[in-house]
Amino acid sequence: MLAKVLSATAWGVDARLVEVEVDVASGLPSFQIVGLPDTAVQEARERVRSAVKNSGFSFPGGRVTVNLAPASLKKSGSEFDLPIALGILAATGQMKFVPPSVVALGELSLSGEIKPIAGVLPVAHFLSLEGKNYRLFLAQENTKEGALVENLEVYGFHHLNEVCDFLQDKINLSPTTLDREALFSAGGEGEDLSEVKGQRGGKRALEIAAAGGHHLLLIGPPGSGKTMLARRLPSLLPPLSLDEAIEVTKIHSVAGFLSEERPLISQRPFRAPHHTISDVALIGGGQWPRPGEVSLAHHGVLFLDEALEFRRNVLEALREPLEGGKITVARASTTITYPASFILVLACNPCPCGYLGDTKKTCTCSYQQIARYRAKLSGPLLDRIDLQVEVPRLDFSEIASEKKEETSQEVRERVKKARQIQTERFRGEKIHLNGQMSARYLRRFSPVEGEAKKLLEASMESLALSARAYHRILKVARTIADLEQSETIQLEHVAEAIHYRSLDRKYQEP
Amino acid sequence: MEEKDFWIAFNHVMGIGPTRFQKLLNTFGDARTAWRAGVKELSEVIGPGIAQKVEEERKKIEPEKLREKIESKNFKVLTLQDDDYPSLLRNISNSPFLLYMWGNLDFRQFDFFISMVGTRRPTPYGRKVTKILASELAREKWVVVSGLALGIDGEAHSSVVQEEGITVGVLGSGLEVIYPTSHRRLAEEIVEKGGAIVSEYPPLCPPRAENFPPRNRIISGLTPGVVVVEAPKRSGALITADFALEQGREVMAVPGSIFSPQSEGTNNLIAQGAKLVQNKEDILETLGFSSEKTRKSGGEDSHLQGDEKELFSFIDSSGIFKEELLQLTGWEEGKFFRVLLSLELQGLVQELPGGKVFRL
Ligand SMILES: [Zn+2]
Repeated sequence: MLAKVLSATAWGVDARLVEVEVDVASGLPSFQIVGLPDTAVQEARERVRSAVKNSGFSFPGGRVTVNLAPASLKKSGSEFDLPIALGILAATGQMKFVPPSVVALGELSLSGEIKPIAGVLPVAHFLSLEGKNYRLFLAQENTKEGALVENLEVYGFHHLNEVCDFLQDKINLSPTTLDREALFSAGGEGEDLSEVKGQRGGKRALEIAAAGGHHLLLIGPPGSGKTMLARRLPSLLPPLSLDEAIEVTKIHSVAGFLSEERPLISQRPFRAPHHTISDVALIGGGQWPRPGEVSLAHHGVLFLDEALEFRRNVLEALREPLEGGKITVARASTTITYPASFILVLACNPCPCGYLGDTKKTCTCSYQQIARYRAKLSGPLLDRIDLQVEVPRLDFSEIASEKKEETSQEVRERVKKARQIQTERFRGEKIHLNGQMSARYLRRFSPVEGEAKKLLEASMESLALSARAYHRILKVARTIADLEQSETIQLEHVAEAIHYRSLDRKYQEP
Repeated sequence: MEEKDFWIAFNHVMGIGPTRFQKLLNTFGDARTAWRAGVKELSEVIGPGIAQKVEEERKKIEPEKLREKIESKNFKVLTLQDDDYPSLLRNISNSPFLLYMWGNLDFRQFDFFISMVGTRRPTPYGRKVTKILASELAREKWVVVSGLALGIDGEAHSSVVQEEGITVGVLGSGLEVIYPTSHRRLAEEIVEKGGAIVSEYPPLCPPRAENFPPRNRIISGLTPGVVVVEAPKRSGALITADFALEQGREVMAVPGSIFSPQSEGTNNLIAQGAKLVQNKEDILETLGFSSEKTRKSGGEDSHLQGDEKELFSFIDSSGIFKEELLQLTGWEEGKFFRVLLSLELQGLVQELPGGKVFRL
């Protein structure tokens, strides 16, 4: 007898329906699963067989064939345990048929318990958009994640028996409800900018980065507070909208990083991978492509401390997301695209010994060593970095102890206004922030005239700024002007923007 | 074979310096005889260890061919017996018994020599002072001697070269092993402009650390006075100053900020009696030349007004973090960076990696 059960699988941050067909026929006992990779089949067979038996049912003695359709879809495995088991029970008449409105996903333990899986939110989102009154059956731990979307009934179960009882009306369950607005606003406050004492230059750079979506390089000795500053950048960005939060949460769902306590990510992500990370872990990939750190940082901040320690190919891999805001991961027969739009913050020491710009320890590097080190920094990746800021290590107890530090909230208000100006400016364009402007956009939206232009040209020459610095200065000057709500780019805006190109300057060498 | 060939041969034996070589000359009359003396005779004069070295080397060295090889590279050899050996250097207690020279400089044709030395890691201030002093001296046909090192030395040489002047670089390595290698081009320019690179070490001698202190005695020995521009404590430049004192030469120093580690050594020199140098005229006077006083020390900001004057007053030659300047002025970023950039474009201050701004 043949039985059909619907399931689904995450496909990037989207999802696809999967039809689980189970045929039980007489013959020598066998258990075939078609449509799963060989490695996953063996494990799935063992789990399903034991779960069925240990739930008080009998496993059919004949020929059991399971087909996961479409076959072209490459699937990872364990989430189909539950629909396969339900199909077997229906096909052998141990349970009545499973209605076509039910979509079941879950891994089974050998005892028949239903275990949570990764990638539930993309599936739930997909089903809710289909609008066919689907009912999603999940492990209890996954239900909050599934209930984040509207227009979808989500049921949570602990055990295979419970699913069978429910389908045969032996027990009554109501769909999981979730106050997602409450969940969304209950994110709580992150780390606040006011906790960082002093570092006015670094804070100002963060504000500009947040306002214009500019990537940032912090150069400073150990202990100067680079990490502390970087961690506060998300708090300066406008809060995520609910749609953005769902988008971010989907990515984290596929990566399997959601917990029952925290089913919705409502804060902008801050990801800080260690420099030993592989390129696959950074940009995504693997046998069943998982999102990498660049996608986990989507709508947030990706922080690479000790940037020079990262392997060259790892840094090179950042080019694609930095250019397009997404990353395409190749899979055997097809490709998956994950969003990856983030503000990149790099941090590094100012010199090989690390103590240039430290007031306590003396730097022992020669000019040549410093020049060589900085040349290494200004590699191809730096082309994408608009702001380069020196963060010295100062003793702030002396100069800033009395001053009240600005809160993230205060800075965020200015950032918000600057972003509104940009939204107006780029209405109908493909970009929405100054940091995304190409040379063509710069000519249109970021003209410099009069005194400001003269200053820029004079500086290019006497500070021996490189050609690439020119466009970066214009971009940043535009954002500084926006922060001051100034329509035109003034002398002051250019002067400050020049200050953020410290690596492009030709310092005098012996 | 000429007597000179044997001087060169002895110079290629490790351990034969001016003192031992002089003993050999005193005992055997000339180098040729010494080179051919038995090991036992040699041992009595220079000790068995060095004598054994001579014995080993003379199996390998053919003096005439050695000289030809050196001359084929366009290197000159000036020995104490030659008329063109620098006369001032002849008067120190342990003059090198020979100097290898790359370049066509005849020391006898010049009257005014001055050494300028300093730290390998100067501040922009030290660099600027060196540039001004060296250029002005070069324009008045002074020969500037230094050590071809990074920092102050290099700045002194290149400032003179830019003025088409004569400058002499004294190496702690052989002429074929220019050190630091990044100064290879500078060395070529020095020679092209009529100056010279000199060394008492054989052409292929590597830059051994122990060569550099004795090298400094040649720098001071070639000139009647040494100007130390910037030197931290325990700087090689201070060793040069010590040699100058021993040799009876004038020691002069450029003062710096009391907060600047690079001026600690020079400020101490002044405290101990070195002549304080604020301009070229101070140097000329110290060396006994009268000069018209056209002092212009420190008055560079007189034309500054308002905001520029205020900001400039906070910046000194030992450098200050921009972060601190922002706090001190209490200005908004826009105004602060506009005024700072203006000072920078006027060449009054300079920013360096690390986030500090220096007065020039
Ligand atoms: Zn260092």
